[in-house]
Amino acid sequence: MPERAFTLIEVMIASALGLTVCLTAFAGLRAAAQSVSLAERLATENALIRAGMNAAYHEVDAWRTYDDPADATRQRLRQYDATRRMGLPFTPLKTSWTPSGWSSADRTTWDEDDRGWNSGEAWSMDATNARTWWRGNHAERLRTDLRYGRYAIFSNLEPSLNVVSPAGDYGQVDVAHTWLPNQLAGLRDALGYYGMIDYMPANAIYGFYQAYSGAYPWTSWSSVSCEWVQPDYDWDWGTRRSYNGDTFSNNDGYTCHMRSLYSLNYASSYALYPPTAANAGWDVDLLVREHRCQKYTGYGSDRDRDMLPFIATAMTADALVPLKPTAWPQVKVSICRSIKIRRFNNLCKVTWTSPITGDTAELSFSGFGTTLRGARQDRGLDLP
Amino acid sequence: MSAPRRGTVIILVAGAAALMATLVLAFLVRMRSDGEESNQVVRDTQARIMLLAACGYVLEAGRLGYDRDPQLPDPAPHEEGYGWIDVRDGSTGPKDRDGNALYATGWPAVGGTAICPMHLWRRPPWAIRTTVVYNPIDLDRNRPDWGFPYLTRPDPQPAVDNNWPTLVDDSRYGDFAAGDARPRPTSTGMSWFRVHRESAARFVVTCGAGATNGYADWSEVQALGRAAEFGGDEQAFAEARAAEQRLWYRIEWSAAVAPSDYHYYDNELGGSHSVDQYFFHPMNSSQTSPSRSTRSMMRCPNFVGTIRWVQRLWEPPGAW
Repeated sequence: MPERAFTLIEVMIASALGLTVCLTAFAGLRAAAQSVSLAERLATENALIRAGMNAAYHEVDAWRTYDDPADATRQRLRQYDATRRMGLPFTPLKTSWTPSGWSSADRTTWDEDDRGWNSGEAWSMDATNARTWWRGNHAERLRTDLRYGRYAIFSNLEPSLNVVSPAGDYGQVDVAHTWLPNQLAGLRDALGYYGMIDYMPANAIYGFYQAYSGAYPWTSWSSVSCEWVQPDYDWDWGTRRSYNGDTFSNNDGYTCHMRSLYSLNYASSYALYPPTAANAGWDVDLLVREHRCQKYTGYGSDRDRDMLPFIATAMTADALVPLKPTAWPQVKVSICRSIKIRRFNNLCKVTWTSPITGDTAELSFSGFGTTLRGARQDRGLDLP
Repeated sequence: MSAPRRGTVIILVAGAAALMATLVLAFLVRMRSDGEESNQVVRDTQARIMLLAACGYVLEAGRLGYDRDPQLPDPAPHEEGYGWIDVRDGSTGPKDRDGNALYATGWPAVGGTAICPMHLWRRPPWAIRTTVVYNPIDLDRNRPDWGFPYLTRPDPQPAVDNNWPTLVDDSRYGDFAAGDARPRPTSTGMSWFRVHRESAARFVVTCGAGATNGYADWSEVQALGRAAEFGGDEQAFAEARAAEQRLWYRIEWSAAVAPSDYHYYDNELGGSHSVDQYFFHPMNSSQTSPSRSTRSMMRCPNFVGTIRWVQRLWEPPGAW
C-alpha cells in the first residue's frame, strides 16, 4: 500500500512554521552578534578612555609634552635667546643665568650681591634670612607723590644709583638690599613669568625699585619698575608688542602698585606653551615673548580674540593612538598648565569621538602632581 | 512524538542554551576584565589624592603642633609648633614656644617616618553632633519668643552622650576628647600615605592605594609589631602589596604663606589712576561700595606654610 503523502495544506503550514523558526533564529543570532559587536566597541572605547586618563595622569608628573628628555627634537622650551639674554621654562639655568658671588661648594654663606640661582636657595633655608624680605611701600602707586619717602634707597635692582625725579633729586646712593630684586628679575629672564612664579615663594611681592630712566615707560619717578604694575607696559622696551596679551599685570581695576599674584592676574592667565598646531611656527623670539605676557581669560575676555587663541596655543590635543583601526574611537589627551588668580592649574582633558556617530564627549579635571621646578630638577636643569 | 523528533528538539534546545551561555560567559569575562582595568584607574586616582593628603599633613604637622602625651585620656596640653624650619630663628623644628624640640627620635625628627593609613575613625576626637539648628527661631506670632534668636539650648553639643536635656554631666569627657579610633569597616584597606623627613624641609611622600596600611614590607610590619593587622599572615600582606598602587614624590615645605593683598579703590573713586590715595578694599570684602568692584583676596587663612615644589620620583628612593 503506497504511503500517504503530505497534503498541500500540511506542506504550506510546515513551510510557514519552518520559515518562522528560521527567521527567528536568524534574528536572534543577528541580535546576539550585534550585541557582541556593540559590547566590544564599548569595551574598546572604555579601555581607550582609561588609557587616556592614565596618560593624562602620567603627563601631569612627566611633563613630556612640554619637554621630552629622551628626544632632543622635542625640547624647544630649552632654547636660549642670547641677544636678549632670556631663556624659556626648560632652559638650563647654567645657560640662562650665570652665577656670581657664590660657589656651588658654598651654599650657606649668603650675601646681598649673590647672583644666579643657588639650588639651596635662601627662601627654603630660613624665613629669618633678611635678604629674602621685601622692602618697599606696598601701597605706593606707580606715579606716586612720594609722601612717605623714597623706598628706592632701601632696596633696588641696582646696587648704586643716582636717584632723580621730578619730585626732587636725592643724589647718589648705595643700596643695601639688592638680592631679592635681582632674584625676581633673574628668574623672569631665565624662565619667563610662569617659571618665575613657580620658583618664587608663595608670599612674593612682584615688583621692585630700579633706576629712574626719565623716559616713560621704563620706570616711574618713584623708581617703581613699570613692568610689574602697569597693565599697558610693553616689556620689550617699546620695541615689540606682545602677542595677544599684555605684560605682567592685567588691567583689573588698574591697580598700579606692587603686590602679589591675586589681583595681578585676576582676569588673566600666565601659561606655558607646549608644541601645538597653532604655535608650531613660533621661533625662539616669539617663544621668549609669549612666555613673558599674560592672556585675558577672565571677565572681559573675548572668545575670538582671547580664549580661542589661548586654547589653541596653550593646550595640547595629542591623539592617544595616532595609528589606530578605523573602528576605534579617536581619543585625545590635552593638558594646559597656567596660573590664574594665583592658582596653579593643570587642566587635563580626555576627549573621545565615536567613529560611527561622530559624537564627542570629554572628561576634564585638574591634576595635582609634579611642578615645573620638580620637572626641571628631574631633568637636572637647575644644576650650576 | 517520535524518538528522532525528540532528539532533534533536544539538540536545538541544547544548542541555543549553549549559545546563550557562551555569550553570557563572554560578557562576564569582558566585564571582569573591564572592572579590573577600571580599578587600576581608581587606584591611581586614589593614590594621587593621597599626595594632596600628605602635603596637607606636612603643612599641619610642622605648625599645629603635637600632643605631649597622647596616651592620656585628655590629650592636653597641646603644643603649637613654629614650622619645620623655625620661623623665629631658622633652626630645625618643630619646636614649642620655649624653643624645645617637639620630638626626640623618629617622626617628626629628620630621618623619621610617619605612616598614615587613611581609614575613618568611628568618631574623631572632639567630635560634635551634626545637628544644624539647636535654637530655631520661633515662627509662631502668637508666642512671646516669636522672631527672637535666643540661645536657650547649648550649641554645639558633643557627639558622645552628655545626658542633655536632663542633667548634663562630664562623665564621658574622656571619650569626647579621645574619640573612637576603631576604623569604620567601609573605609579600610583603601588608601594611605607615608612621609619620610629627608632634611629640615624636604620630605619623601609615598602615596598608596591598597590594603597594606602603608608598611613598606613584611619585615617592617613585624618590626613595628603590626602583624595582627594582617592576621599574622605574610601571604595576605604580599597579596595586598601585589594589588596596590604606590607613587613616590619629593616635596619641599616653606614657611611662606599667601600675602595680604588688596584692591585699590580706584574704580570707586573715578579711576583717575594718577595720585596716591591709600584706600583699599579690606581682605574678603563683600559689602563695600555696592554696584562697584568689591574684589580682594578671600579666604586666605593659611598659617601653616606652603609646598614650594613637588617632584615625582620614578623609582623608590633609598629611604622612604
